[in-house]
Amino acid sequence: MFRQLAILLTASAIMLLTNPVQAEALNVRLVMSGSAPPYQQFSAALDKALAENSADVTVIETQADAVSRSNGGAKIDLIVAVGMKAMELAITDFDAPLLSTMIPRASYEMLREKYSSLRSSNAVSAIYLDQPWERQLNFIQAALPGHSVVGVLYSPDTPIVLPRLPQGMSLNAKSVSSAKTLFAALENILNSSDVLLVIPDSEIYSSSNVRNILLTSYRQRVPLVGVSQAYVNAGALCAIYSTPEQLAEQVAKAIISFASSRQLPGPQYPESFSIGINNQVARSLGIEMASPDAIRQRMKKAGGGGQ
Amino acid sequence: MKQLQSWLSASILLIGMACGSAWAAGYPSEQDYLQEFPIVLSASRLSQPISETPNAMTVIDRGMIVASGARNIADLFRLVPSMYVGYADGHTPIVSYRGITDEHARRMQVLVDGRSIYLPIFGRVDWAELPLDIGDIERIEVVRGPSAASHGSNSVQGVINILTHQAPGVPKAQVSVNRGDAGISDVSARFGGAGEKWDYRVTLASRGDSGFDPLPNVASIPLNDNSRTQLINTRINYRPTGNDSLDIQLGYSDSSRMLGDQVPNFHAPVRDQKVNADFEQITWLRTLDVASDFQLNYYHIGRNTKDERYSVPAYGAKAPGSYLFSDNAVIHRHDFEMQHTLRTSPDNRVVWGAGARQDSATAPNILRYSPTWREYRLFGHDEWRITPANLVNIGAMAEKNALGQTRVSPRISYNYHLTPLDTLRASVSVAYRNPEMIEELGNQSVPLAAPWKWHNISAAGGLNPEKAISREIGYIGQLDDAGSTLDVRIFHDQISDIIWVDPVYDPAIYPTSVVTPKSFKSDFNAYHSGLEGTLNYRLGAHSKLTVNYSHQIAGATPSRASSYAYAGYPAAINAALNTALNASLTSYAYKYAQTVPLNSGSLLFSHDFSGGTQLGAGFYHIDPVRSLDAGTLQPLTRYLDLRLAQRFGSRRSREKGSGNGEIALVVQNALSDHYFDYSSQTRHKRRVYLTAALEF
Repeated sequence: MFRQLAILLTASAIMLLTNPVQAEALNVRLVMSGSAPPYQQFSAALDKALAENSADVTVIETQADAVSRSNGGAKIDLIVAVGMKAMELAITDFDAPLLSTMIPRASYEMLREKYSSLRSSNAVSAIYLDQPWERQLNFIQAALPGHSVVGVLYSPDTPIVLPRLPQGMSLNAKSVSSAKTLFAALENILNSSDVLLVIPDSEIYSSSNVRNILLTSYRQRVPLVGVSQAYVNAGALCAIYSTPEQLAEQVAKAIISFASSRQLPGPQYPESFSIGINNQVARSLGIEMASPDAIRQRMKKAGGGGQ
Repeated sequence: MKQLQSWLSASILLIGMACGSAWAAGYPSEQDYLQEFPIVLSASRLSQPISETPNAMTVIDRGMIVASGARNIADLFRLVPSMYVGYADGHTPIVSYRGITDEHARRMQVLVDGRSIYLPIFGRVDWAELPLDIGDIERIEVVRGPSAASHGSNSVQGVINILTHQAPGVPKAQVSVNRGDAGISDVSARFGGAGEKWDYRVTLASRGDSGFDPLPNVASIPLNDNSRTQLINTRINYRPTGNDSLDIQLGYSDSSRMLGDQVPNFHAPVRDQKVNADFEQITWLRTLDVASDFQLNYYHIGRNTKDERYSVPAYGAKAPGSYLFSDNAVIHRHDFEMQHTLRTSPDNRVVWGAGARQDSATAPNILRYSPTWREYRLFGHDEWRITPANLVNIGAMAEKNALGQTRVSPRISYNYHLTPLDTLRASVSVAYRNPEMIEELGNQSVPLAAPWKWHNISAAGGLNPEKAISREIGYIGQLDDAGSTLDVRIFHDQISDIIWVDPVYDPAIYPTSVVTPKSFKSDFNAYHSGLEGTLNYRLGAHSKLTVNYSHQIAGATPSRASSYAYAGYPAAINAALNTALNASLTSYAYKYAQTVPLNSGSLLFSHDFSGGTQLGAGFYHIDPVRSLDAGTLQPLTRYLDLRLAQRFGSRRSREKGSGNGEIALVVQNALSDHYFDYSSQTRHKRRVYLTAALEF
């Protein structure tokens, strides 16, 4: 990654040298919430996307826990905050325009609300990590036709805005107040739903609970729709999600547009997404699954878009 | 203690959150999307769908168990096409598949969570004293046909595979009580918990009734068959790492059952037989990667029967006094198995493994000596999807039984998906039933006034395993998106070397025995043919209908003619003996054909009304049928069981998981007050019982 960064910096330097008439490069400070693989993937993909577009951008990467205002000292034109921790730090410690990403919409809006006094709205935007409700339901319709009752478990603290449902679909949402009642609620919801849709909620989908939720739903023959490839690998039937690489491409586009217009696009959901399918689970449940491409086509036809 | 724990963990959670950040609880972070999980539904946990299994299969799920209103596990098997359920007495259910029914229905493997409960000495399942409560059963899978490649030895005509709730399946506490006719009085309590690395569940239960009561206006010898079983059963799951799961199961039961006749019966006076049974099982599952996992399984089953009584005087001068009769028996089974499941490609899955079993028995008055029998097995099974529409299952088990005989049981099936919803299956499989201890080593003899003996069993030994070859062609169809299915098949099975109870004339025994001595011998070859079908139909979101139908025929022919030629006996006596034995052989063959009913079927309907009311109705039909050791033919029988249940408790308390409950009324044999069962003594009356369950 550092090598890529170095190449990028060298490339930028060469561009600066060879093209002296152009204005100064855009200085982007990339603030990461951590150094786990997804953040590294994001960073590498962002570098690559900017390089491919020959963008005149200088990126300096820092970790949220290592960064401070004095750090670097250079002028900062734009901050890209990756993850929730990075956004909170960027919003409180920096003044430059902020593009937040790899953050769920609800949490982005919560942080905006919380620090509304510190920032004017036009200087902050986001590319969310989560998929819009419409897209998730569109996906379920396309991937699992006939599975019209969608079960959802959430804890009372989770901010949940129930969506308008597509034709022929119904939502079976249950709030779970404590870990003790989780399995009673789960059994209840599995009995009355065709599919269980995961809503990220660390109270419910902790790694030990996920095990039991997957086992229970499998035994009840109700497929589980997850929010990442990790869910699919663990035993969810399928998932729709955006990878760090896909987010990085969209962020790169926003940076390039910012470089010329000095305007951030409005907060938006990820444009591209991936579809993961666990064919072994599908086969075992006796569910005929179309290929990810065919599901995408169906989603497009239904008007949900999809790339 | 538990409260303290949850309080502690709650405060730790709060502290953790307070340290981490000041975010409001419940807001998702990217971690909720990016977190990694261990593989949960690993290669061995994923079962084949019914349209791809090598054998026909019937699944009885929790909903059907509840709707049937059954109190006894054995009664559930009435929901399997071609399966016979009868009662030799109130505490001795008989479950057999495709005939050859007698009190010891020996030709089916029965597993509880992979533990074989088809036990020596007699090779039978003692349903009454099983340390398992019906409320702990999550589902039952019945494989209809030989399945040694997947389920081990003795999976001859079929396999009953009972799966109990996982450890965290019962997170709340529940108390349930049954009270009703025929002295029905059951109580059970269960509780459990789930944690980060540990889950557990515990069940305590006591069940009992007064068995079959004499009917007014019907002349029959009353049965003394009161029984009571008390049990504890626990299942613990421990996960030291994300890839390792340790499943520990323990159970113990203590039963008392009344046996014998009030009218003077020489060796069977009225008494209580006491049985203690226990089991310990540990299964370690290690997930190696997405495509493979490895499992080690060990279990022990112990069973101690105490049944000693003194005879009443009989046989005149041959047995003037009182003699001690003992059916005391102690058995132990140890079984160890390793199994490796791996997906070699997205279209191929292999399961292979090896196991060893040791059965030992001490029963001085039943067996010639106290045997320790060891058997070894090696098995492999491959599911190969040649194209999306063509699937082949091929497998075999090789076993060396305790008698030193080695047999290979192969199985091959071809499943062809005509469309994604319609499947044709053709399969051929072979399986063997090993002789039981009683058949090989039985020796039941009590000395009376010299030279007289009561010599009931004197096994000649030297038996070979029974062999079954099964062929079937079937259709499995998915009828709609709601999950309605149709499963129909025709089958033809051949069984050779069938072991029967041979009434022996042994000049060393017979002349001085007050009863006809018996041995066991492989004397028959038989066939079973028929058609079976199951329709599972969903009528809207709240109703479900299951219909089973079976049409069967069977026949047996003796593989020998009697050839007694005792030297020193007049030819006329030898000829008379031969005539008598040939008559027995012919009679057995005649009765054998009657052990399958021509037509039988069942129908289970359940409906959920709004407001927490549930109706279950089971209707059963069985054409005349015979049990080999029962005196009479069971006439055409039709009966109806009804269950009406009402849940109560507020929605609020339901969500809090407290104060819920259910009251249910069950009427068994609603149509008739005295229908015939296994024999003229076991006549079912209408039975009504009430169940009250409380969850908190």
